[in-house]
Amino acid sequence: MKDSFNPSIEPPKKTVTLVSSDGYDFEVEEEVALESQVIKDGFEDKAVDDREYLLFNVHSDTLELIIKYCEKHVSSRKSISAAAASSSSSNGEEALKEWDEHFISVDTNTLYDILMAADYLNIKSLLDLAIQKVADTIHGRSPEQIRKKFNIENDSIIDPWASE
Amino acid sequence: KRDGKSYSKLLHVEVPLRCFLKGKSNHSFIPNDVLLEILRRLPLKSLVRFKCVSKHWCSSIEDPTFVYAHLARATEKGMGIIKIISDYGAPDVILTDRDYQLLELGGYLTVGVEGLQQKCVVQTMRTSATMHATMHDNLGQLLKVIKVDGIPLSTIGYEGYYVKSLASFKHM
Repeated sequence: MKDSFNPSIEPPKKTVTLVSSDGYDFEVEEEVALESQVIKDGFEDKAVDDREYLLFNVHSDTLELIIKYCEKHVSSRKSISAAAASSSSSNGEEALKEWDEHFISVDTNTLYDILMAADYLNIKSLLDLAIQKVADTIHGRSPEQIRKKFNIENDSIIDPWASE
Repeated sequence: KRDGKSYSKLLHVEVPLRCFLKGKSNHSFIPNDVLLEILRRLPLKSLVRFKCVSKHWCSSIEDPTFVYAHLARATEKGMGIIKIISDYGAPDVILTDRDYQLLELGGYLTVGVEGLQQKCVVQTMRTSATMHATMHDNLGQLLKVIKVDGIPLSTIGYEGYYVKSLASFKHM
């Protein structure tokens, strides 16, 4: 799935630097970083030469995934609106949905990390995606499995569900 | 492995940052607003079951604000209807969306319909969970839900699980 816009007509990209909790720099395009509402909110206040963000709660492994997600969404939005402008039919939205589904099909720990990072960075579409995935994952579980999954102490006053 | 990444020079300057270097997050903490958003997307059947996960989950699920949010979402998705089927030939009744918004878990189902028999079935259309209910009093005002999906609530510790509506029904 290559994106259809032509890089030669794009103006030179402005970049910002994101620093993960374990101390790695990620240089990303400005518009990709602005997918995060938190970064967007702080963006105007920062001097142009000081666009570095310390992301205290995001590990580099997670940050890599987050950036991948944001890059995909920025480029998809462009190709979808380009397709709309030339009124050619496009299944861009469908393809993006499929991509999202594949993206979020990760193990529990990674899903949790993505969820926390999306919440922390306030990336609404990703937060939605992760929350829906968690809901889909847990809806059939027993209370005991839920406690284990979320490290919850059993302080319930209700008699536990008879486990099958 | 760290292609394209360089160790940040910032870390050498900003010592306090080290306190954040605890590696990947553990799973012991979910912010409350995120938890509520997860719960909001669960079917009623799961919510009933998850009430015994912990006191916090229970009070979150029973909180009226949450109940409204949960039901509003179901309504939004076009699934927000509760159907009441009587066992004894009295007309089935369906709560309208507006009525449904007023439903509350953990309360009573207040009905104002005439001719509803002693026993009826409350069916949530979106989960296909079937809640069998009996009329709580002779005035036809209260329905007590006694079974969910054929399971008597008393056997699973949920006796007293009610559905409440302040609104009246519409006949189907």
